[in-house]
Amino acid sequence: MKKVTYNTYAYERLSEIISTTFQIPRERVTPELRQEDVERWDSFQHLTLTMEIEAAFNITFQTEDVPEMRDVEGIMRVLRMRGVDI
Amino acid sequence: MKTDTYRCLLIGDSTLNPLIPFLQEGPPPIEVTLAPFDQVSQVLLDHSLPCWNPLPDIVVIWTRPERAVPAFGKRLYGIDVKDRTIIKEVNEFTALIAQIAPNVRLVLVASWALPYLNRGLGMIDFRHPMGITPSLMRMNLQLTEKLKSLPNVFILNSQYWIASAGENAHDPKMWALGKISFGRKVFIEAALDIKAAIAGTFGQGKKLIALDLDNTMWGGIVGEVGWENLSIGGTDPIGESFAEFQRALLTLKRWGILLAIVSKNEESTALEAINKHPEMVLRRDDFAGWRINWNDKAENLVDLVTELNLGLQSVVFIDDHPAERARIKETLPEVFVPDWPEDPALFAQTIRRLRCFDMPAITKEDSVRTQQYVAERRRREIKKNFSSIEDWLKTLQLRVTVECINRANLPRAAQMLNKTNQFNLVTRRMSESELWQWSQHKNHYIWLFRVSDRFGDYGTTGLASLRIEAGSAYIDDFLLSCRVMGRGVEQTMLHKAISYVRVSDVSRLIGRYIPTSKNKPCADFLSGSGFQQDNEPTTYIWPIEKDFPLPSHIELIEIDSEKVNKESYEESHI
Repeated sequence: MKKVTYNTYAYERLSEIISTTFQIPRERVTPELRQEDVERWDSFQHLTLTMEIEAAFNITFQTEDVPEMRDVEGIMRVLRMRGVDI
Repeated sequence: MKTDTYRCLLIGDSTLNPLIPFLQEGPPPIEVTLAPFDQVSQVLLDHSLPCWNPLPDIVVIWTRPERAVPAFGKRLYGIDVKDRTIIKEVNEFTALIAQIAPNVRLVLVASWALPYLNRGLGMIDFRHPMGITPSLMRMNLQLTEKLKSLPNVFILNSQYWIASAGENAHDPKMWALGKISFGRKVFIEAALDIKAAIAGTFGQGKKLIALDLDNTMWGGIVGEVGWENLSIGGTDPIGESFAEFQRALLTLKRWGILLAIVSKNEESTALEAINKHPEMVLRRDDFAGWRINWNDKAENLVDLVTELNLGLQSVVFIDDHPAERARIKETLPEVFVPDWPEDPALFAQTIRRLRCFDMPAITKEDSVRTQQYVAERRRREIKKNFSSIEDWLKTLQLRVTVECINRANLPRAAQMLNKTNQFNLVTRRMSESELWQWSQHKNHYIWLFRVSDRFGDYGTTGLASLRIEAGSAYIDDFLLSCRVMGRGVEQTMLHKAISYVRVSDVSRLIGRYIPTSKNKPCADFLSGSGFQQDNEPTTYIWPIEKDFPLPSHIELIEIDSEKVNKESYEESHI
């Protein structure tokens, strides 16, 4: 398994948003967590998640980014693409 | 009637899911149900749909103008439609709202606005028949016109939410991805306004602003620089900021909010400044009361609130000093202590943006409320000269006027029912339309009591309701504004109720006291009034053989002792 280090603050913030939006415990949020693992992660909540991340990191996703973000790893990839150090 | 959690049904034609968490944040507690997406007319017409079961307390209707009024949608894309077609469709929309309104306690309708920038026809938009902005204005005015006769329907200004969100009010990506028409900030602002309207409707609005003086109402410390050198008004920008803040406060006072002073100062020095400074906007008689001394502000505030017969939960505390704010927050958690900016230029807009003064109506009592407290101050000064309460009461020349509930006094009746805490037998909360419907039952009676004396008019301050059932009369509501407690008005109300049932065919009058954390004064009064008490200590019984005399110092005027013609709610509203 490859070793990855994350910018702790940004990662913590993202985990907090995910856990609040889907009402799951913080410990469940890992980079491997996927949409299908989370009961409340439906298409509406996915958009709410997008809005919350945009607001928290003060960025604007492009339309094509949104379907990419189906797991935490994907969200982080897109965030890096939009200039967030995570 | 009062439930701790309000059930709210959200009806819209765009995705309103992001609004839900913001509505569920903070008080009052709200349980939200979302109606099926984009089926506004069907939902409003078909009450068998699951979203109507259980029946919500509150309905929020938030539509897009181009969808609710399809003719406007055509005009938005340049298709030639007539104004009258647009108006006709607005009327159809309002008819749907009018027919659900009597079924719920509160209906909130978002005004129509475009969340994105649309210049329409540019420089000719306002003069061309196809102009976008004037069409929207006309639609909103028509909406207002059609809905304003419905007492429980209110239009909330969605343009305010959109303006607060600025550029981010609409995200075209979110619209394309999931028909979300509004940005996150719009939802936040909307939720705050909706919650403020709910709190206001159900009597949780604030009634009193307690203010510091030095560097809160004027620039400088009066005890150090003297009133002549305070910064207020004039050409100085700081002084101008304080004057504007005072104008904002005066506006609130005119709308029925009380102002009071809690300041660490010499009383005479501070009052001299208030009276003498030529640029002061607020003067002594604009304040319902004050505590200007060197005591602890929390103690002063409690003392003042007691004097004004209010509860701490109806108080807003404003002080430029963070330590004073922290002290109040810590010792009196019921008091609302808003974060206060350092720059006086921001004071006026900060108070205007507080969402705690919403009220479902402004009654005559609201607009003269401060005057009543000023008269009360004079009464107290006179009272000091009398050795007994009875002697003092005799000199007041109290006059109580009783009338049945009617259309004109309904808003005030509902307001009292929802705001009175301390002298309130059952603390039953009802909206205007619920109260009216209740009063229209043939065995239900509601009386309103108006009180005046030689110092002035207290306004309508008492309400009693009776229900006659199976040979007994029940007092369902018995409430009195604390301002007039202890002056024989409560006895006058009982006299009226008991005299009324004595000539009818019942054997006894029963009052069932429902205790809350605040309404002990009402129980104390009944316990001391000669009622019999059942096994249960909360049931008070008056045998009908016994008279309840009118206090000798009171003149009672009955406007209409017989029940007024009962008109049906629907007839007068649609």
